[in-house]
Amino acid sequence: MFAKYLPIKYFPVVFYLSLVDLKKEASQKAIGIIWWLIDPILNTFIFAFLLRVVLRGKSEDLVLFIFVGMVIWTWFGTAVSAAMTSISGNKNFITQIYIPKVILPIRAILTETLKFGIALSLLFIVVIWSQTPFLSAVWVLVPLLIIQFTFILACALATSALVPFVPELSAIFGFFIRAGFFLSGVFFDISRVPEQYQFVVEYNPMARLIQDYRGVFMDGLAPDPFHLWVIFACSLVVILVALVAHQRLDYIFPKIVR
Amino acid sequence: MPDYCPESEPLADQEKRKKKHEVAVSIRNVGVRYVRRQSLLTWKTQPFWALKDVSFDIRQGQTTGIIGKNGAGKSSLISAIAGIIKPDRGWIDSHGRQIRPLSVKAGLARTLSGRENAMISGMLMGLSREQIRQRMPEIIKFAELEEFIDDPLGTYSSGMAARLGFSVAIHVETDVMLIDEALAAGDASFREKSAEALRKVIQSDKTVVLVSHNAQTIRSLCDHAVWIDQGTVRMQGDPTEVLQAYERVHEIKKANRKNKNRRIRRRMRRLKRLVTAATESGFIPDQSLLRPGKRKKNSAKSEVPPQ
Repeated sequence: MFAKYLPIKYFPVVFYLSLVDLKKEASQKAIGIIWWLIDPILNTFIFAFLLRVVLRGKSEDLVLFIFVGMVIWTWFGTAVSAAMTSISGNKNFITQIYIPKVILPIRAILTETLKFGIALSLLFIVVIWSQTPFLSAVWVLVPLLIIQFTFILACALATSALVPFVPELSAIFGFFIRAGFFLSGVFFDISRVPEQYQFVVEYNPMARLIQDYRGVFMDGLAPDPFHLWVIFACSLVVILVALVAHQRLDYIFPKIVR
Repeated sequence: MPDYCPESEPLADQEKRKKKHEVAVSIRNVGVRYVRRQSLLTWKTQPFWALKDVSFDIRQGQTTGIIGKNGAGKSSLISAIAGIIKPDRGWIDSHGRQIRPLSVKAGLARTLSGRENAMISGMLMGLSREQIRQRMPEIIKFAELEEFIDDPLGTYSSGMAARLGFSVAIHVETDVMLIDEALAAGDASFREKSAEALRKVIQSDKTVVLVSHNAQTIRSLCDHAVWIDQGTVRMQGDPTEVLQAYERVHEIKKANRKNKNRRIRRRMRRLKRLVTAATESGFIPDQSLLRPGKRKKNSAKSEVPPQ
């Protein structure tokens, strides 16, 4: 019964597609796979420069601080932006052959997750190199990664089902992702946001997740599980609703994607 | 033995062959509606029935040809039979058979190579990666794309992409083959080759649905023809009869166009004669004034002061 909503039969194709996407992307760039490592590093240095030199912030581990935020945010940002246009942008897949449309956002997420895996391994190297006490809470990373993946999946499935109907939504969601980058504490500590604006980060799942990752990577602290459960539960509900919606819309998408 | 025919026929296939001419796919009162929402702000919708009421049977082991003009609803019908869209009314029953659209004309992912596209469409048609890898050399050879197979599909001409699509199609066996204008792909020699391949497939008692707006293709390959016009079945039955009727209608239209042209030409001649007469009688001083092309030339000449 579950296969009706989540076509497991098609998962080999999804894996193949993601691998091929990665291979293609790596071959298009002269330095290939290394780019995915360089990209977050460069971004990190830009913000480190901005904060330390221009804004004269004083922080010991500013580079690591930003780097954790950057890697974690990049996973979310790229995966959701790639997934939301995955149905409206793959006209050929949709109109020429039957394919359960839900596998297209999943393919996009998978591609970005594999890239994130590479960046995460770099993050591990940096963390070990800076000798933070992260080993004391390293097991927390497993539930954290699972919860973030669930959250990404929820956002991706929901947006990808909506964007084909209203193409403008991709611009609007794109704006939210961009705004989220600045409001999720990628390069600042959300606890330093003034009291009256705390709601911005309070109800922002990515801000909470990034803070938790930082706790693990920089101080070896396990996060408070309550808000993680909330994010996980909400994401699961959204995923279930979105899967049902995708199943209902499966034969509508080929008609509206032109 | 041609290389694109499966060597060993599955047992189920053999049994199906015995039941030749039983109904493979029934299509009853099928209608497909497209809804265009003009704006988000107004909830006005404009339904458009691309397919109004179509009923016919596709029989086991036969080749059914679907013919119709552009915009008659052929592609909607094919999408519905292939299960890409669901009919908004009526039903299609394939009696448990696999139906696949066997022409991925434009390719799937333009940034990926031809080989990867072939792999993906093969996988979506139900083959495993290993199976496709085994068939890959034959697929490439048939498509005549040995040099280009690892180039991105975006660099292919439309003929090349269609050749690849057709080649993958005939190397994947399914119960019902659905071929959409595949014979129009590529140059004359490839067309001939694919027609030949198709003829072999048809002779091997496969169930084939062929969609075309070329009457000749349908006539030479099909056992049964269905003429779709404005979303309905205008006529179906023996290909020769159906195509005769189809061509008659289109010939009349063509003839009408021809007659119209003739009428216009006659009027033009009459006008010319009138003008010549008027010029000769001195009513119009210079005939060249009436011919814009010539007048320009003359005036250009006269602008140059004679030396």
